[in-house]
Amino acid sequence: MVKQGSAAGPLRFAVAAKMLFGASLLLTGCALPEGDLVVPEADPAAFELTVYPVLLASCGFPACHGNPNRFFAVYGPGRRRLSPSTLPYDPATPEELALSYTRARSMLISEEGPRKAPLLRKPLAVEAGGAAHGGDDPWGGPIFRTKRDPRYEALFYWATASAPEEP
Amino acid sequence: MRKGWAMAAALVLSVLCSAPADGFSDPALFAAPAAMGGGAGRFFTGSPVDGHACAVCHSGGLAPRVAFEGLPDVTEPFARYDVKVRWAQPEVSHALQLELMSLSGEHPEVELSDADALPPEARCEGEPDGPPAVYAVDVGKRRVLGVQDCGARALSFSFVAPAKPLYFAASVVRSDRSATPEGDGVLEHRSVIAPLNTSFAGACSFAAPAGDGAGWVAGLGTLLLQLAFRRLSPRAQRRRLE
Repeated sequence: MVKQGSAAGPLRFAVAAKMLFGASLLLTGCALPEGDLVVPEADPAAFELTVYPVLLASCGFPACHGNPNRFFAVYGPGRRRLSPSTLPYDPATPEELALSYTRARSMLISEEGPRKAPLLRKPLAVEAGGAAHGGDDPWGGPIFRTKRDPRYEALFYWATASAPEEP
Repeated sequence: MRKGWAMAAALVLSVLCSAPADGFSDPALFAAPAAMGGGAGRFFTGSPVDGHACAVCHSGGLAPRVAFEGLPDVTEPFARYDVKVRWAQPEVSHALQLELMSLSGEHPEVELSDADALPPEARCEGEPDGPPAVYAVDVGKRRVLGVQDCGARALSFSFVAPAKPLYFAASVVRSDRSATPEGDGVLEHRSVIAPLNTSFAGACSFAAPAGDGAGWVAGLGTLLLQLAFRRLSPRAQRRRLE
C-alpha cells in the first residue's frame, strides 16, 4: 500500500494521520469533548493491514463512502483518489491512508464506548444488533449480516482490541 | 511549524479537490484484492451474492438500452434455453456482466458459444474476424459472463434449467469514455426464473453477503409475490430496443 522504496512512508502516514485528525475536528467544528467520550487508540498499522482493505472492498464506492462529500470517506486504489495526480490503480498514498484512518477512527467515538460506535453498528444487520444503514443492497442485505463475518470481526478487533461478543 | 500548518492546509485542500476514481477496465480486476484497487471478488452483477451492481460506482449518464431476448420467466426443468443480450449503439462504449444462480448460490449449466463459433456481434468491433468480446469467469460456485468494452453488440449464452428457482442478474454500463465512473449510465436487471410445475416450500431465507457466496438473505416474500405476478424486482430498470 505504501509506495515501494518510500522508507519514510509509515512515518509520513503517522504524522499525516495526526495532522488530519486535528484538521478534521476543526472542519467539523468538533472539539474533543470533555467527560467520558474518548477517541480509541486504534492502531494505525492494524488499520492499514486489516481494516483498510475491508473499507475499500465494502464501503469505499463512489456512490457510498467514496463520496468526498461524506465525512466518513475512504480513499484508495480503484476508488476515489485524494489527488488528481494519483493514477487510479497506484497503491494507496500515505495521505490517503492517513485520511481514511482518521475518518474511520472518528467513527469509533460513542458515548457507549467503541463496541457501540457507528463504524461497528451502522453496517451490521439490525437483527444482529446493528443500526439502520443506507448501504443495504437492493436485496435488502446489509454490509455485515452477522458478527461472525470476518470483515466485521476485523473492524471490531481494531476498534476494541477484542473479539466480538457471541451474538 | 509553518511547514506543518502548510502541510495540513494542503491536505485539507486536497480533500476538497479529490480526483474521481477510474472504472475496472480489465475484467481481472474484479477478482483482485481491494488494496490493489480490485473488486475483492465482487463482480457487481447485482445478484444476491454481489448485492450491489455497477451503479455503486458508475452514475450520471444515459442508461443503456438493452434487450434480453429469450430470457424465460418460467422454465421446464432440464430444458436448455438460449438467451441473447443485445444493446443499442454498439459504437458507444458498453460493458456488461451477468450471472445465473440458484438459491444456494450455485450456477446452473451455463455455456457460451465456442470462440470459433461466435457471431460477429459478439466479437470486438462487430468484425467477423475480430477477437471474442465475451468471457466467462468461474469463481467458486459462480459463473459470471461478461463482455469487454470493444464494440461488440450482443452476448449469447445457453443454460440448462434446474428443477429449482434461479436468479438472473445483469448489470450494463454505457460509458462516456471519460476514464471516470462519472457520466456513465447503468442498467441493472434482476429477475427470478421459476421452474414449471414445481413448488418450493415457503419462506426459506437466504443471505447474500457480497464477495463470498456462502449464503444470503433477500426479501424472499417480496420476490415470491413478484414471481406470482411474473414481475421483476421493483429495483430493476428495464429498457428494450424499439
